[in-house]
Amino acid sequence: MEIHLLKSEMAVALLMGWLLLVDLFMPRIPKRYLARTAVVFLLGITGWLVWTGAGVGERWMEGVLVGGGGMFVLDGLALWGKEFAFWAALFAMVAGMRFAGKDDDHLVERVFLQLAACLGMMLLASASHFALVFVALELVTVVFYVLVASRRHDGLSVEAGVKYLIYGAMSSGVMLYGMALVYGATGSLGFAETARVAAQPTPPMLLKMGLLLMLAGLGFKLAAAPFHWWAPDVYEGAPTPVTAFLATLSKGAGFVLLVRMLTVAFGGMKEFWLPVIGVMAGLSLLFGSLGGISQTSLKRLMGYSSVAHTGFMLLGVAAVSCAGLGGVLYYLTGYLLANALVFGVMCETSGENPYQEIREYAGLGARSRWLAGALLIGLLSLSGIPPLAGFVAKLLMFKAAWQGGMTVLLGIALLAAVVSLYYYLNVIRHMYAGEPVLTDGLRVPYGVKLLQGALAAGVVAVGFFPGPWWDGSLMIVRALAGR
Amino acid sequence: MIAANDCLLMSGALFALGVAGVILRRNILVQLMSLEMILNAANLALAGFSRAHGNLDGQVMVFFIITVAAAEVAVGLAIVVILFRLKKTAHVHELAGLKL
Amino acid sequence: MIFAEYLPAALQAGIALAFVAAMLIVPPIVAKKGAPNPAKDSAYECGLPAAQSGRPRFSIKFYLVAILFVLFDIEVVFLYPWAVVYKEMLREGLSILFSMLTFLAILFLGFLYVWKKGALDWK
Repeated sequence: MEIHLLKSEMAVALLMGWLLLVDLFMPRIPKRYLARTAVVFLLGITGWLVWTGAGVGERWMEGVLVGGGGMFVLDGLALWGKEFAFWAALFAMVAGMRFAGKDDDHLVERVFLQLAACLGMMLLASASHFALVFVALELVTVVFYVLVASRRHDGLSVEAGVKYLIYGAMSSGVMLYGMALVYGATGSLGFAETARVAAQPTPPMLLKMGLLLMLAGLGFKLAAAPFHWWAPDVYEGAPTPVTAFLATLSKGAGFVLLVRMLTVAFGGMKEFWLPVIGVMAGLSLLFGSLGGISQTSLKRLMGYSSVAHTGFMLLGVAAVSCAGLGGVLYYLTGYLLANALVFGVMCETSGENPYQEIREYAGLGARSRWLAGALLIGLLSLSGIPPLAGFVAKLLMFKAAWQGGMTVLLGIALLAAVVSLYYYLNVIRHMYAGEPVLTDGLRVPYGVKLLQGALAAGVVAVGFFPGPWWDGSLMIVRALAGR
Repeated sequence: MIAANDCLLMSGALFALGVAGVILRRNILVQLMSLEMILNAANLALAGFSRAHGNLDGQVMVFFIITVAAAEVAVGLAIVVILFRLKKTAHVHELAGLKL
Repeated sequence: MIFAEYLPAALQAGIALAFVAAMLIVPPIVAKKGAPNPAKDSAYECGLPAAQSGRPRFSIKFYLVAILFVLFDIEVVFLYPWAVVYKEMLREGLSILFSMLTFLAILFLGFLYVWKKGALDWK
């Protein structure tokens, strides 16, 4: 048994069980303390994973540990995905605690569910067998159905939950059918066998159909056009911390799976999937940037922004080079940090501005210099202003697209970057120059200031010193492509 | 003798019906049933291919799909019940709070 | 000809179908349908007028119980194949026992949660 490979997953699962049991049998312990303890524990597990992962350095990055008959792999990409899941869950948990207020009866359940989604992405990052892919992906999505609808008295939240449920479940079904067809073509659900069949000079028709259906299903999870229409609605209706989690974790999970699937399992069918990814990238860029222009709610705007960012990242996937795929990982890092900043500020202001109207951000610059600064850095990074992380990430994508010879897509991407710059700057304009609706100061606790300061420093550091992040991403992708 | 081809045809029909049901019907409960149909189309295809290939991978996958489908439907029904309590409706077109 | 033994069944199916079709097609042609009126639509001579809609709304608790039943019922999907191969696999070590125990423990945790939260009380 290779059960030791699952150490970090088991740690998270044990944490979940412990949390639920303590909450059930010791109801006197305040839920906030329990939630904080869970955050501390998760931070501990994260630290341990980073430490052991980095400590063994080369072996983890270059080598690969396989368990469960090739079902579960532990390589650089898997480790990267697990760390991404940890950080996304941590930010979402803190944001959720700030958002919930003092009298939230379901705080522990929320944290439990967030941990479950984190566990799902951890498994997904290691999955190299379609059965595990399916179960892990469903663990993430089913949890999100519940989380999105978790404000049970808020009609919008429940409505968003229903929409996400119906269309999410359909996309899972479509993806599953694709897996069934792939199984029909190859006789195995493992990535290795799929890769063998896909490398044939003329891959069977069933395999192509299966891949198409899987890309459609995955496109939904990534909010890639033309499967993006749910994103603005669900982003707007879901509780703000859940939106943050949705924007970071489910996107990260989708891209980690996409990168592994396309390079490892379907690496031999580049000519087939390249145009599909290219079209999805172009459409996402267009819809994401043009759709965001007329939005009045910051949450809805972030929905369109996430579609556009999916487009940029798909550009890197479409470049089918190590530079492009490594760029995707780098992009996700910057995207996670910037989103955590923006949604963190949104959670702070959600009490007075439940619908996150952009015009109610007017005067934020005077009310709380701290929050305004955090939002400013986050938005600037998302829009790609040098020298922040988002700028370097976009630059990497453009470079990869240029080297891949995709001039049309590159043109669309440049256009999208300019258009989306407009709507991010519009928020900033409101924040500093708008006519204020509220003028009283906003109190921000020191813990939140510390976290936001660290995040902002992270965004700047990843942008100013891209070296280590970029080298790490490149090493991961090279190891993946070399196998 | 049932060939894999027949299974594929049947499951393809089920899949198409399921997708059409989700897209065309406006009652959430009917949509949930159509979702089940999509999943069962995949189940049927997997079982058929499993027989054709002579290995059990596909059939084992079916177990997992059944379980996940149950979880999905449980969560779905729970959300629909909440929705019904809030809005007294189970029809998608009456959900107009968010643009779609 | 192996189909010969199915001939009676086919005949019966054919007759049944023909009968149903006849019952559906012939009456509208033979009989003339009068205009509906309230007296005609009411229960005929015996029986009571309908007291409520034919589809009564029933308690939301049924849904809760149904949802829980589905969740805890589905575990059998894994238990059954496990039980079939259990004896054989036991010779290779205890891992088959412990994997199922882990599974059941997780399930039991969910059951405890449901129980403590009072979802099983019918009040």
